[in-house]
Amino acid sequence: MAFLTPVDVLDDQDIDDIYFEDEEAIHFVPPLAVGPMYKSGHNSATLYGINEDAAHSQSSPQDHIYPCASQEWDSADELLEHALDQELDSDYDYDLDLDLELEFDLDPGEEVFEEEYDDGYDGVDFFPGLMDAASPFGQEINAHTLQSADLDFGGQHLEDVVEQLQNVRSQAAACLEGLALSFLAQLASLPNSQTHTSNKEHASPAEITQNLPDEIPISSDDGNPDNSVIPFRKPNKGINLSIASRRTLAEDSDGLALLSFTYISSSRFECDRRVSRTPQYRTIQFPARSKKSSSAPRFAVLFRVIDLAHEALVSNVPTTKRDIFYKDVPLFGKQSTVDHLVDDIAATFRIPRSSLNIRASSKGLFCGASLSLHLKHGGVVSGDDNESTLIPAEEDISWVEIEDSLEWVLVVEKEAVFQTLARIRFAAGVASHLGPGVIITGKGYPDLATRSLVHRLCSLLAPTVPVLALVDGDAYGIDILSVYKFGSTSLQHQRDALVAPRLEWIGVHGSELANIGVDKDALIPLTTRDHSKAMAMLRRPRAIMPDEWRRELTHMLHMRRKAEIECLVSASSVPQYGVQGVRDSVESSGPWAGPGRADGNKLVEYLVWKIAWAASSARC
Amino acid sequence: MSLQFVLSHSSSRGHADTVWGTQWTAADMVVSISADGTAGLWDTATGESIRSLPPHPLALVSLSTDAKGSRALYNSIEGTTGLWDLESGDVLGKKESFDTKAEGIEPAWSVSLSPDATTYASTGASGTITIHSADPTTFGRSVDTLSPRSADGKHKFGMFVSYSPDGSRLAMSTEQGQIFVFDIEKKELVNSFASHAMCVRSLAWSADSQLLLSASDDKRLVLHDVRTASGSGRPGSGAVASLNGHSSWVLSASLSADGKHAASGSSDRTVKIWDLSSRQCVSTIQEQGEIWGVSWRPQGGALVTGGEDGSLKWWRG
Repeated sequence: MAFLTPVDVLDDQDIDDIYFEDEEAIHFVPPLAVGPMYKSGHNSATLYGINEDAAHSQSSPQDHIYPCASQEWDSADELLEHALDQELDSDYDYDLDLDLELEFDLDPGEEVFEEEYDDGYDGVDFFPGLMDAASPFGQEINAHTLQSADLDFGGQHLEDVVEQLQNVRSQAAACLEGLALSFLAQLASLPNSQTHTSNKEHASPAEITQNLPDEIPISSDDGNPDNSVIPFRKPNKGINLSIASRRTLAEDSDGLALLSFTYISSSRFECDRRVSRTPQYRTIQFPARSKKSSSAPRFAVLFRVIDLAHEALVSNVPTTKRDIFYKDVPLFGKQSTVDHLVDDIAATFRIPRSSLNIRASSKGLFCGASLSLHLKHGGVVSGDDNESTLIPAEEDISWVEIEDSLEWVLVVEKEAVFQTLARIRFAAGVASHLGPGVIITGKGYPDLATRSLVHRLCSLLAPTVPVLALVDGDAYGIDILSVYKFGSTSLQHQRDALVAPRLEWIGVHGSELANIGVDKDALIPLTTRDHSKAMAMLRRPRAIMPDEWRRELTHMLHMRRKAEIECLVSASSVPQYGVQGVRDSVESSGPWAGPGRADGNKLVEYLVWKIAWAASSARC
Repeated sequence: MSLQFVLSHSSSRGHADTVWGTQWTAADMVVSISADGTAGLWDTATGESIRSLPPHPLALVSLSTDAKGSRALYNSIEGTTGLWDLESGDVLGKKESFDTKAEGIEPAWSVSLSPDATTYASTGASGTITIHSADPTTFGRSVDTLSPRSADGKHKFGMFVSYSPDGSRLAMSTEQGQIFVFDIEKKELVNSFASHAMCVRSLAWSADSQLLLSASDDKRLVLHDVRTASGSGRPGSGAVASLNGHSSWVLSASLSADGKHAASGSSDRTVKIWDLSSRQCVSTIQEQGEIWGVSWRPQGGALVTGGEDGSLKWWRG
């Protein structure tokens, strides 16, 4: 039995040599169904071997293939390790609980692997031609060096220590490698006229274990490729790679499920339906299913991203999505291609994106001297009442220091509003007699760092401190609010660490504008985008679209006008809730009094009214 | 001369949210729809609720009844159109027009039932009128399409559509303020009015199908004579009268059956009664909230209004 490495197969000449010159057809163990290789969390697989003897006989095709190994593993990378080892390293006798041994005899001329089996498995070592990596984990210790160093670990098992040292990044690297290897494995097994090929269709984990294939006919000498049958599902020649499709990624039973954005009948509009637990995957196929485009660019984009992510992991140099995009702009085209793909890959392996060593660039700001962020590598980011401070990435923050005098937290959608409030030292509380607070902005749709900071504050602060949001009273404002409070569609798998359930929506409500004296003509007409967005949001389940928000959207749609924060400028009668002498103090405090004072005035009055009301009701 | 209208009675229990449409039917009952997704049928003498539609998950935005008052057509904000039999209380047909994958139709916004209840017209975001079958067996099937030729291809949102009482014409108003009148049999545009430059939210036909009253965000109501062809295209041609007096958007309008009076509800929280011969406001009723629905009694002498608090109020002169 000869082994073919994917590297060899890539050369057409080699293929001819191998397939046609040798009388004995080359048999090789079909690579594992590729599902388990990159569905971490799934931890069982069945390996199939080809019975060499049966292949030469006239026995029916069913006898050619037998399940030779089936195993549960504790973690995906362990599975990966074992699976790839036995596939690629011919010298290794793989002994399982089932007492099946596999022996792979190398033809002398076909020796491919000369490396010995390595405990600290790293796929990179087996494909020297593919990746030029130096020691894969850089400065980090792996089992190999530990063994040779003969160190004492205080009684701990070597495996435990290795495991502790090999952090999440190595798992992520293994997952990425698995994806690439599965592609190559499929490439190696493309249909060929002479020999059998079994084409891989990506199947769900359940199917792999439950639906053992009945038959995998080996094509006879007439080499009709149509005879090759997918073992698991529908026939599909070619290569299939599946990655998660985040839009329909389902939640666990205690989480929320977002309905995918398709039209459904009204009878199902309001129900909080749970999408099935199986995550949805989209498949990149070769040959492409659609007639109009080829699939090569899709593979190229996927592998370029995986390559850059792997490089970041291996060399321990963090990169950003923007960085990845700029490495190959003609290939990617748009930044969003990279964004979606990176998040999809992270979702496929169910790991947070930071584990891929791709850092999100922060854009959120905060303001307020009561808040200081202590970083993991030393250093403190302390807030200031007058200036805005960039919110550091979540993985850099070690702990958060909050002054006891903190009375409120305000999250605003727009940076312009944030800057206005920072300029008038609103966070200090002096101008408004409110008490010190913290203002945070995500500059529109918040990034991970902002959301995680808000989440942290929500979990750390006492219930008497209100966490409030000021967004436009339009569809996008409410969507931003929803992202803070319930999580975004694209990062459902990271949801729990990013949501801020305590967040209250204080404004701007379209329904209250009449009460505070805003003229209806000051409202802004709805655009087609607003209309579509609002209609789409009305379809969301009640768990993530409370009735109050739904009512606001409905009234906004019906009125054909939306309320933005700028409308407050024309407010004529903002109530002064329980705060004495605010107007006087606001007018007399110096630095920001002047032209445009009227704008600051009205906004401040509005916010003071809302925050004071929220704070007093929180105290009850 | 001013008329006095006094509150006769209010509905026993109202809707949970703003009333967005009212219609006093020829069968002397009042139908109303609300933002909370419910539609109700009310007894006009007592204000009691006779029956109500099972609540829809989203708001109802459009209401229309047939000439006899036996059937009511309602439409929700996402485009579910339904036919309600007022006598039996059954929903005779439903069309989910937001399923655009089906026929390339668009979600309905405003709907109008033909006086003989055989067809209904709907208009939506693209500003074209689609005529559907209103027969319960084939409810919703598209029969015809009418579209105003637009000189500028700007986005025209169809806000309101209404059959004339004699069933021969369809009037449509847009978010930009244009009003179009189509002849149904000839399937062509016979009139277009450019009297408003802001959103026209409601249209009301006179009982003889000759006059059309429009209610607009520009705080005016304009009465149009549909008989005169407005081929000259001059702005304001065809307009007979302009009723000014509201201080905010005019949301709803209704013409009395004798053709003498008009009623309008506005976001300035008032209901105004107008005398059409003198074009003056003869009565102003102060309310607590915006008035999205007004409807005269077909037999005359009384008025029903639907308010922001969800209740209906009957007024007699």
